[in-house]
Amino acid sequence: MAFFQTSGVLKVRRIYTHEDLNKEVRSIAGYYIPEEEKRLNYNGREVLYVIGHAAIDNSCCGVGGCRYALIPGYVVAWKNKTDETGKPVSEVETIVDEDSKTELAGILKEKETITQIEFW
Amino acid sequence: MVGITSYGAYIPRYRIDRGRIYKAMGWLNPATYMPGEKAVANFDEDSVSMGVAAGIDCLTGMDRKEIDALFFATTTSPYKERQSAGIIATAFDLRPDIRTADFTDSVKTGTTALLSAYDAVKAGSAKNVIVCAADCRVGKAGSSQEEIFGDGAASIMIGDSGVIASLEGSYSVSYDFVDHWRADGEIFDHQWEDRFIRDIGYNRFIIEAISGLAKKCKLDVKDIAKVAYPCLYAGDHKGIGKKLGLDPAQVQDPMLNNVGYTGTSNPLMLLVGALEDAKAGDNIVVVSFGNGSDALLFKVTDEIEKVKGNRRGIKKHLAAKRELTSYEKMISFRNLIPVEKGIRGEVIPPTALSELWRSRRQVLGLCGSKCKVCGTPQYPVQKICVKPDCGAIDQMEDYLFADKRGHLFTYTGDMLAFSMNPPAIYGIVDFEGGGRYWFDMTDVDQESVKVDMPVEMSFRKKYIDAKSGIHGYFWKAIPVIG
Amino acid sequence: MADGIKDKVAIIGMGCTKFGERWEMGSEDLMVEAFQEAIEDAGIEKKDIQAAWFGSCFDDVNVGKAATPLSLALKLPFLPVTRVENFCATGSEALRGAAYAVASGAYDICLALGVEKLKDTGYGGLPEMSSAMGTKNRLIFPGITAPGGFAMMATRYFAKYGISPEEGKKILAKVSIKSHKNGVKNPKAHLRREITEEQVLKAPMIAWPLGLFDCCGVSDGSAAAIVCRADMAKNFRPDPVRIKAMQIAISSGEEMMYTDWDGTYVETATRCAARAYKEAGIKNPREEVSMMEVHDCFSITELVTYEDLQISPRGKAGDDVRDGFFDLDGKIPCQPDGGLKCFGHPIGATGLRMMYEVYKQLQGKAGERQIKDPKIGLTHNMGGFPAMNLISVSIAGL
Repeated sequence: MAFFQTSGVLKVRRIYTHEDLNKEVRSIAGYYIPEEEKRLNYNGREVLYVIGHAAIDNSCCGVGGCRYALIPGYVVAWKNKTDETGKPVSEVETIVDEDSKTELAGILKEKETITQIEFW
Repeated sequence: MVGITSYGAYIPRYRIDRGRIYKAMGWLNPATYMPGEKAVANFDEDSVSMGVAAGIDCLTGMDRKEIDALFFATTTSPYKERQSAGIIATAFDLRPDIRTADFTDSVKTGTTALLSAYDAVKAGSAKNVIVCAADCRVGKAGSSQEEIFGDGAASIMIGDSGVIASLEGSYSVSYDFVDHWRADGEIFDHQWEDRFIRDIGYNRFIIEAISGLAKKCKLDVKDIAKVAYPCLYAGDHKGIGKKLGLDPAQVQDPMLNNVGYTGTSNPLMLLVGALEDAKAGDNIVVVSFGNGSDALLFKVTDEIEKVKGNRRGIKKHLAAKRELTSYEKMISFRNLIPVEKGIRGEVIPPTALSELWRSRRQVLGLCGSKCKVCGTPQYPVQKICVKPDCGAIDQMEDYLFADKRGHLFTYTGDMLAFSMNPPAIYGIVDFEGGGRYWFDMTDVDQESVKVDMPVEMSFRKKYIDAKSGIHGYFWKAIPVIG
Repeated sequence: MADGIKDKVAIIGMGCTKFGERWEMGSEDLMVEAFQEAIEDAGIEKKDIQAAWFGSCFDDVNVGKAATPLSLALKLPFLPVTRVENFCATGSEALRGAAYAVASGAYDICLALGVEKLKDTGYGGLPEMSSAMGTKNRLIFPGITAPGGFAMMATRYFAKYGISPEEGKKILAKVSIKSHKNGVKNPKAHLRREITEEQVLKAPMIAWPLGLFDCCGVSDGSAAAIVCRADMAKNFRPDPVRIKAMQIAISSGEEMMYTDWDGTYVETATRCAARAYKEAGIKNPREEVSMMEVHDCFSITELVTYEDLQISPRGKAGDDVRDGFFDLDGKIPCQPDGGLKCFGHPIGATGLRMMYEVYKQLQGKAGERQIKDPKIGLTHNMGGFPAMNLISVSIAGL
C-alpha cells in the first residue's frame, strides 16, 4: 500500500490480483463467486469493478446472500505485473471521495443487477 | 371561541414516480396514465402509524396531559375490532380518563371527526380534542386507484384557548351515494362509472355543501381566502372551483400531483396546507367528500403566528422525500404479492397480550423511567436503577423517550436479518438528556447512516402476525426530518 | 474465606466429535461419540461416574428440555444429571458445574458433556430466537442478528481508534486467516481450508463492516470432559490437566441502558478475565498465558477479546495481530485448533471443544499443530451481544 497526497485528499494505491473468475470461494458461513471484472469510464478515468454473487447459507446466525459489485478503484496500471503465483495484478487507486462513491453507486445500481456495493 | 389550536401532518418519505407504475402495469389498462408522483407508506407504516406521526407534529409544544379526547378517522384500520384511537392514544401517552373513538367507513369522516371534536368542546365536555386522520388505501395492480391513491395523515387539535382558526359554521349533506365501496374483508374498492362519480358525486355534493355553508354563514365566496376540497379527478377539481366562481388562487392545491388522493385524511391535509399559508382574518373553507359532504368555515386569528413555522406540516414533509425506484417494492410493502421470507422470516413468536397490557406505556408509548435519586433516564422501565453507583430500588418516575431526540451511538446494516426492505439497519441510540437503548432504524439508506448522526423516534408497525391477527407496533429510529 | 477452585479439580479425560454438517448423525450419536472418547481417554468406566452436567442451548430443535436426553443416550445408571444453558457459554457452564461439584467434595468423578444439533431447522444459521427472548423483549428488541450486534462494536472500535474501514478490514482479515491456517491441521474441524487476504477482502459484506470471512458458521458437534479430585488424578493418568480458574460474568444492563460504556470493549469479559487471573494467581497474562481459545464468533470479537483479556493494550490489538503475536508460532497462539471459524458453533459443545484443545496442547498431543511447551491455556466464551451478554473465562494448566 502506498499513500500519496494530492490537493488535500489522501489517495491510496493498492494491488488488485486477478483471481480465477467463476470459482467458488468458500468460508464456514457461506461462499462467494466473482463472475466478471469490468471497467467503467467515469470522469475521464477508468474504474475497475467486480460483479459476483454470494450465499450466506451457514452463518451464525442467519441466511442471506447478495449479488454484489466490489469496486477496488480507479485503474492506475492494468495487468502490468504478475504476483509470486503467476497471477496477473493491476494497480488501483481506491475511491475515497464520498460524492464520487454515491454517484458511482447510483450508476452501478442502474447498470448492473446487484443488491450490494462495496468500495475498497 | 372554539376552533383549531394546533395542526400537524405526515407524508411518508417514499414517493414513486407514476410513470414507474405505468411502465409496470400500463400495458394492462393503458388509460390509467397519470402524471406526477405519489406518496407511498414504507413497509412498516400504516394508517395507525401515520396517524401517530401527524399527531406528534400537532402535539408539538403542547401538554399531552391536557388532552381530553382523541378521534381517529380512517377507512383502513388494521383491526376490525380493536380501536385504533386507543392504540394512538397510548402511543401519545395520553391520560386514560379520556374519550376515544374511530370514525370510519367513509372517506368523509375526517371532517366528521373534526365536527364532533368541535361539538364536544363547544358543549363543555372536553377542553382539548385531538383529531387524527390517516389512510393507506390500495388499488389493484393496473388500476387507476393504484396510480392515484397516495398515503398520508393529518392532525388537528380543537380547543377553546389559543385558537388559531375559529370554526364559524358548517354545513353537511349525507347521501347513500355509492360511487365506491368495499365490503367486510375486502382489500380493494369496487367503483362505479367515473362519469357518474364526477357528475353526480363531486360536482353536485361539494357544490351543494359549499353553497349551503355560504348561505348559512352569509358568506360571499369572494371573501374566502382558501377553499380546500378533494377530488379524484384533476380536471373536475378545477371545474368545481370555476362553477363556484372561485379564482384559482382561492383553491387549495389538492396535491394529486405530488402526494395523491389520501382518502379520509385528504381534506384535513389540505386544511393544514391552507393554514400554513394563512394570515389573521382569512376565511378558510374545508370540504370533504364521501357518501355526502361536510363543509366547514374557519376564521384565522392572530394566534396563527405562534404555530406557523413550528410544525412540519405539509411543506416540510413534502420536502423530506426519497424516491422509491421499484414498483415491485411498492406492492410488496402493501403485502399485495406473496413474497418469500424464508422459514426464519415467517417465524412470528406469539404476542402475549397480557404482557402488552402491563407494558403498554413502555411498548406503545416509549415511556421509560427516570431515577428520582440520581436522575438517570432508562428504558425500558427498571425497578432497580441501572446507574452502577446508584442502584436505588423503586425510586422511579415516568419518563417519556418518544419525544426525545438522540444520536446514533453505533449501527450496522445487516444482510442476514429478515427485512421487507433490506438490509435491516439498526443501532444503539443515546438520547439527549440521558438514556440508551437499541432500535431498528427505518426510512434510511445504509449509505447515509453515520455514527453520531441525530435521530428521532418514529412509531411503526413492528410485525404482523397474520395467523393470530395481531399487528405489533413499536418505535424505530429515523433520521431527523427537515 | 473462599479461595476459588484453583488446583482442586483435574480433567482426566476428554472427547470431541468431528464438527460439521452431520446430516447422518443425531444428537444421541454425537453424545455417545464424544462420551466414548472421553471415558476411554480417562481409562474409566461408566460406573465410575457419580454425577453429570449436560449442556445444550436450543432445546427445541436439539434434544428437548431437561437432563433426560443425556441420561437416556448414555444409559447413565440413574445418576444425578443437571442440564445447563447459558447461551454460547453453555458448554463451559456444564464443565463449571461438574468441576464445582467435585471441588465441593460432593463427588470424586463427574462428567460434563455438551451437544448441539443445529442442522435440523430447515434453514441455515441458528434457530429463530425471537420467541426465546421473553414476552416483553420480543415486543421491543430490534430485529437483530449476531453479526449485526458485533458489527456495531466494530463500527465503534474503528471510530474510537481512528482506524479507517480499509485498515480495519485488513486487521480483521488477518485474525481470520490465522485461524483458517490452523484449522487445516485439525481433522476434527468443520472447515479445513486456508484463505488469502485477497479472498477475504474481496468477499461481500454480511453486516457492515463484517464480511463473509469475519463470521462463524453453524455446525453439529459434541464434546465431553471427565473431571475428578485433583489429588486422585494421577491414579488415572500421568498428565492430568488442572483447572486453575473458572469464571463467568453477566451483563447488569448498564452497557445497554446507561451511557458510560463506549462500545469498543466487552465489560463482562474485562471483569471476568480479571477475576479468572486472580483466581489462577496470574499476575501478567501477556507473559504467563501460553495459548488461548477465544470465542471468535466474529473477527472483531477476537480482536477486542485480546484487549479484554489484558493480552494486548487497549486499541493496540491490531499491532499484535500484524506482528503475528497470536499465530501458531507466535508468543501466545490463539485458536490453535482453528476456532469457531473452522469448527462452527454447536453452542452446547463449543466451550468444551475449546477446553479439549487446551487439554491436548498441555499434554503435548496436538499433533501437527502442537505448540512448544505450553504451561497455561485459557478458554473464553461469549453469549449474547456486546451490549448485553455473558462471558466465561476458564484457565487450565498442568
